[in-house]
Amino acid sequence: MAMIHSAPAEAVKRSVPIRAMSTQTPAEHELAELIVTSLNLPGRKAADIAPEAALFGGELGLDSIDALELSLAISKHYGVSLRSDEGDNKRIFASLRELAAHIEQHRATAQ
Amino acid sequence: MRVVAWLGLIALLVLAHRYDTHGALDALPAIISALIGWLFARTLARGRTPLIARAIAAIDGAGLLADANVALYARRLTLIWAIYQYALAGIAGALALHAHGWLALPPLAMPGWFGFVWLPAAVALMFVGEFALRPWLLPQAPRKNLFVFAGALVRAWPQLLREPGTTLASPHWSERREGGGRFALWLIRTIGLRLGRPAARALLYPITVYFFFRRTPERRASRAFLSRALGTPASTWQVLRHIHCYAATILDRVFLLARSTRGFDIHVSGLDQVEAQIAHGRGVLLLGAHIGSFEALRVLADSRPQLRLRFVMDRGQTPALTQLLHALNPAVAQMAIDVRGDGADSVLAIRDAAHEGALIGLLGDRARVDEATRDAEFFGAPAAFPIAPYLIASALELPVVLCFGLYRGGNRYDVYFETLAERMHIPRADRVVQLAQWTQRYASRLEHYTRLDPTNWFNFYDFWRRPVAAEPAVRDSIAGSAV
Repeated sequence: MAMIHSAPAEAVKRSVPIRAMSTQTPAEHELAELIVTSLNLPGRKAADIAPEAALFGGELGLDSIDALELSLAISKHYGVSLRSDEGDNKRIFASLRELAAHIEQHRATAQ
Repeated sequence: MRVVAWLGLIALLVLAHRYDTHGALDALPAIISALIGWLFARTLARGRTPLIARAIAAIDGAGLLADANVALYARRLTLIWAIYQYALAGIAGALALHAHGWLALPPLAMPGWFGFVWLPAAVALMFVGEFALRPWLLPQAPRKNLFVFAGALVRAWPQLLREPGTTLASPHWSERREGGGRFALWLIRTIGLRLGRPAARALLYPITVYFFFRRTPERRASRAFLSRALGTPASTWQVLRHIHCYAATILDRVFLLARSTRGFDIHVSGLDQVEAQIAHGRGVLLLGAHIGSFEALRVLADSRPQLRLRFVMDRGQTPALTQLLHALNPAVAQMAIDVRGDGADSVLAIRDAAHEGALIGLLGDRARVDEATRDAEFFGAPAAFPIAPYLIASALELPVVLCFGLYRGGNRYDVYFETLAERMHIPRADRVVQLAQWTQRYASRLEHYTRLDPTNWFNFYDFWRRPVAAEPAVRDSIAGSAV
């Protein structure tokens, strides 16, 4: 299966204010904790994951198997199911920030 | 040009197949002549190097071709040879038809005389004539005596059939263009469904011969594999049988998809194993390989229409074949999970299928270019096997059942099911060890089933080729993209 490519850098820059570059919101921190524990990333702390850095292929180096495990952990933890057929996954999985925003949005509509 | 050659060859071979062996013998010189004519003609296509130009490059050096006069001579002589061979083929064909009373000709020589005496003589005469005129027509080339010239030509012959500049190294399987093309597939389907399987199977002989000559890397890979599997150098006959087996199973996919298993004699073993896993209702990963016909597992769906089947496949690899098969059975298109495109989409689609309790078919032998693999002993040497099937099954806690469908000639298929894991569970901390074990188990079982009939092995490339680049060291050494 093809590598999951990170979103173009321009798209990330546009959606993120410069000042917020490296601080996680509480929601992002919660998700970062889930990523680190569910994927068992050695030597990684949740606080180390930069909100706008690429989750896949980048420094964190997650792969599509990780995407699968992460989707299972997210549906268990948040009750939010990531869809396979919306064609949006490249954007949703682009960064911690995008993923957290997606979860918050779908959690809100579910309640 | 190619289509015409194809049609001519097929028509003649069908005639040869349908009528007595004497008729086949009469048609042979025409077929061979047409084939040689086509070998010349095809090199005249735009962007290709004329056959005579290749010969000049091989015998006298490529430098000569820089001269525009030499290039023109080469192109014209190639054209003359093509026309000459086609003309001889036409005469031989007409005489063969005449001999069978299908074509009224004045009482001339019998086809045997023409085909086996006059035709070769005419070719030899043309060759000697060309050689005799060479000092005048091609003064740039160094003089050679006839035997040296002919000897050099014979030695250079295999390389003349290859477009210069194309690599001899075994390419990765995904870099090889699909063989046959849309036209051939359309032809097989049309003949198969209109005239029936026996008529279509008669076409497999010319197709086998065509594949044998046209697909040099595949032919080499076949010979290398059979030699490895049989433990002795494989003969040309065995290579032809190997290609024929492959062509036969591709043809049968048409019937299996259009009419399901009707008319086939399919023997299933280990059905109880897969049924036990289905009974758990949490989905099953069916792990197959590019051997025989994975399509034969449709035998399962026949007895249980409510069963959900999904196939993980790469539609981009064989677009013509995929398009054809989907046209035959649109439901199949919906059953496919395409691995092209976003990796997350395909793994999530597999997750959804598992949650529906589907049987998910996946082939576990070929790795894509950037896919993470583990080495396992296979036919006496290490080969790289993808690890994604085991990781996916583990993440989804799925049972894994091996599934291999071997073609046994005629209309007979043997389908084997064998449980690999009741419930795949690979803890992250233990990945390195367990992945090595699972890939080795898979490789050993695949070897076992392939040995039952090595001509069912359909990876026509160097399966043991070592990857060019070293695997990047990502976390527990699972490369960036695992699926």
